[in-house]
Amino acid sequence: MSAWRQAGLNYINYSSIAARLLRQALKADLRTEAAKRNDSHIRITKWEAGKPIKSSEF
Amino acid sequence: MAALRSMSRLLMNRNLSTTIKRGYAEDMSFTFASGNQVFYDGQNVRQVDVPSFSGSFGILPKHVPTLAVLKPGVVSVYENEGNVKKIFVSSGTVTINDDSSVQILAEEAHPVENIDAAAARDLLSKAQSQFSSAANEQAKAEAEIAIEVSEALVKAAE
Amino acid sequence: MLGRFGPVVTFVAHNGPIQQHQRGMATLKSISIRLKSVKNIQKITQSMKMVSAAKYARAERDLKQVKPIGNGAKQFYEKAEIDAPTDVPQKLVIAITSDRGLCGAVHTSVVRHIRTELGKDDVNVKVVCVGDKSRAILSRTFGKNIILACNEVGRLPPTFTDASKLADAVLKSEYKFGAGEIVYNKFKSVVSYQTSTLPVYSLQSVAAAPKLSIYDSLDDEVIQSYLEFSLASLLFYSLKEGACSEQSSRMTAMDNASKNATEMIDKLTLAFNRTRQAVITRELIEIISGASAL
Repeated sequence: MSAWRQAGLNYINYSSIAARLLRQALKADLRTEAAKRNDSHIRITKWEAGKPIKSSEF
Repeated sequence: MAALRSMSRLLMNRNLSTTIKRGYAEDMSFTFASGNQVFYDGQNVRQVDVPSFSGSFGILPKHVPTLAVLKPGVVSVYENEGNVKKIFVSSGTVTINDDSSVQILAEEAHPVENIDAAAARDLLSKAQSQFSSAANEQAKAEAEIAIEVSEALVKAAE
Repeated sequence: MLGRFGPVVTFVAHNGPIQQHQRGMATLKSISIRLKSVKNIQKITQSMKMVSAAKYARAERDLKQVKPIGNGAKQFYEKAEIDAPTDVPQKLVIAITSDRGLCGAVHTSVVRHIRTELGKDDVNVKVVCVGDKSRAILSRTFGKNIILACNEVGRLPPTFTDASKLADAVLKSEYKFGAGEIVYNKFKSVVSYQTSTLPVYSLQSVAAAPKLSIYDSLDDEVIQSYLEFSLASLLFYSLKEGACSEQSSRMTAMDNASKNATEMIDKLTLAFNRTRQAVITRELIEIISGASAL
């Protein structure tokens, strides 16, 4: 098993880290446009028994 | 890397002669799309080399069906006209189906020439210091991934 | 005959205009107020249409880029002929909507699909609501089935990072499901969309697929990573399809609203002019009859 999976990460986490780094390693003129794809606005709330339990950021 | 390249060149040469012999019976429907760009959409190419967690491998038409998970690195696409395109992928999946269709899906992908070598080296040193200051298991694993990715970036930008 | 009816006619003639006169003035004012408000509404719907037209153009361009990802991610599921496992009845449904309304029936048609699903079995089905709209409708009747709710969807175009966050949250929700589906609106053309589903499978159901043996050298970790990334890709694709359908539907809805407003403005303008003419005529009659009485 990969070290990162043992540490509680999944491939989605791995992929986000890798993609973010690739965007930062681009030539300066492409970097700003690519950095927009780092952004995420979505907010996720856990629900239990018909009510939101806490507004945690994932 | 160099060894792989020469290997794939060998493979390519072999494939070249076989394509001439067998004509276009062995078409490969190749799709390569990332979150930022579509590189190929159902096009016919000669060969594709991909970096994966189970090792780098070349895909020729009629490859045995398989699934693989991409490792950060360079995907080389040998087009029918003889051009070789080198594209750096962050991560993603490779699917080879039994009908000889191949899909590479990546979160982020850019031609190698768009990578800034200096920026890649900066990222590598940042990742290394991040690793030495990592406080817990998870931060350490994240830093390890960062090192792996930036090493691949530095190598690709050379 | 005339003598008998004479006073009655004069009575009407004297009394009528005064009453009508007052009513005429009132309607004239109320018509102009209504006319003004309808014109303002039309301005709003027209600018909303312009905004969504611009957003739609971008969403459609984005969608073209994402289509190969969606199709590619589906390929394996279709070609490996994976079925939902029979021993794990738990199902997951992900509703792709947004926070914003005024876009026709895009959100309700997604919710309707899920409601029929929940109507069949509301014990083993859990729902992830993406967008305030689906949450608002479903929480009333099926609140206990919701495990995750997301908002801040639809204001800006969705990114892969959004989809990753969502997929990560679904995987870390500790809800063990055998199979599931993403319910979203598939964009067909500017005037039509179709509520469709995409499959989501667990590691067990994929590992149990009979056709998996033709795939070479697979271990569980590869399949697991593969499925994780596929979930993110499929969510990314469905978010884009949903955003495109929503914008095009809002554009059509606002276009219709503007057209209806134009129709109303025409009718009201006509009524306004008629009434104004009637008032003028009446005033003239009054003046003339007053002058002839002298």
